[in-house]
Amino acid sequence: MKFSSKDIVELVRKDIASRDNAIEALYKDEALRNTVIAYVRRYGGEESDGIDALTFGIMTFIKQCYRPLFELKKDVNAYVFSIAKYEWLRTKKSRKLTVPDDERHDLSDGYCIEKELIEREQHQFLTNALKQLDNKCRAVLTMWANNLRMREIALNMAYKSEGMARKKKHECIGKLRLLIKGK
Amino acid sequence: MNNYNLFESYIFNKITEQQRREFDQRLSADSDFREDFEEHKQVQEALNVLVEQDVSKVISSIKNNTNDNSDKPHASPRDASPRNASPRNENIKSIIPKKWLLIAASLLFIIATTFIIYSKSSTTKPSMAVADLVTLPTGGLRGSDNPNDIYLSKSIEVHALIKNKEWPQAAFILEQIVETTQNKINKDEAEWNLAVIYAQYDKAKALTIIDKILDDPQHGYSDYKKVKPLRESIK
Repeated sequence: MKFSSKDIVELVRKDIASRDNAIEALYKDEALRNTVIAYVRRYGGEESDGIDALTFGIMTFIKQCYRPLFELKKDVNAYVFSIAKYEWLRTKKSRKLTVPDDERHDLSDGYCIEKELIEREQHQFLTNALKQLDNKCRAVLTMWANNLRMREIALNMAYKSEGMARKKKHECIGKLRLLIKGK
Repeated sequence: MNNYNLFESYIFNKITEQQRREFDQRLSADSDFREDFEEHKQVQEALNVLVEQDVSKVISSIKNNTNDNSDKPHASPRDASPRNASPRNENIKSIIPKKWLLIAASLLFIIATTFIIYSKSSTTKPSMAVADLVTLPTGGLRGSDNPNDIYLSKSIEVHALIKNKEWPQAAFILEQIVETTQNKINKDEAEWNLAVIYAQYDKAKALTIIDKILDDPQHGYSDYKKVKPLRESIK
């Protein structure tokens, strides 16, 4: 199924079921998949590397959709492909493989991806900080991060009210901030 | 953290050059501001990591289903290789328990059926449902942990007024947002929603706004698929 840029962003933001449908549509989009795999193979990777890069591209797209000011300025497949290409370049670097100049140039498709991705060390640091949160906080923040409404969070966590869910979310964000600051 | 909108506007390049210069100057001169900004980015990234973990479960689940389906004509060789055999054989679930999805689906079915019956019996002219057209946030927008987020709180207020069909009051709030907000995304969104509200009781005003949206290629809703159908339905 083909989506317009605006439609797919709205679909992801709408609710979890719609988001999962969007993920499935992207993951099963043969044109996108073949393009990513062909690119990765052309530059020394295997099909499995291509699938990993595609998965990373889809994940990055979904994460960006949850930022209220994110706007998809090009076709969704082109966006995911740009991220997948960049990810493959990073993977090659981390495996100490040579990155030829023409491959670097191939990335300059007028879209600045670097600013949308965080360094792997930073990612690891945040993953560790999140691990230190208790299960309830992780659950609440995961739902909140996935755009669930306070009412839905309250239902899932069996809280008596939206207010209680909101309070818990504030408490958990506070804990997360302290963990990030290393206190 | 009271600078949520400002930080996000900076990150997503939704501010003017002048505002960007001022922001950069403040970043270099004000250490508290800089610290707040760094913290904001870190918290957003941490929330992204949580999203990523959930999304990766969904993708693993899709992969597993693809593996299970041996009739699939385009199953990739990688999926079948021992190296990539998934260690997880249990069904991986997303964050919403299935029972809630079932309840939500049942509710949606009842609402849709009621709406169809109601619209067939009570109207002679086809009209577009307001609920399908309104795009304002209903609260809980991820990252906006500032309870004083004016746009969000006003949007929630408008939703309540729409529910009670208090169109002029809803229009009044949206007009205020259009006039006062500095954020183009919010302004465009408020303008579209204002057209939707006017379509309920003042078609001339609705048409004026819709035409303005359609005439402005920079408008966030100029290519929105529901704009032209709304125009047709009220003409």
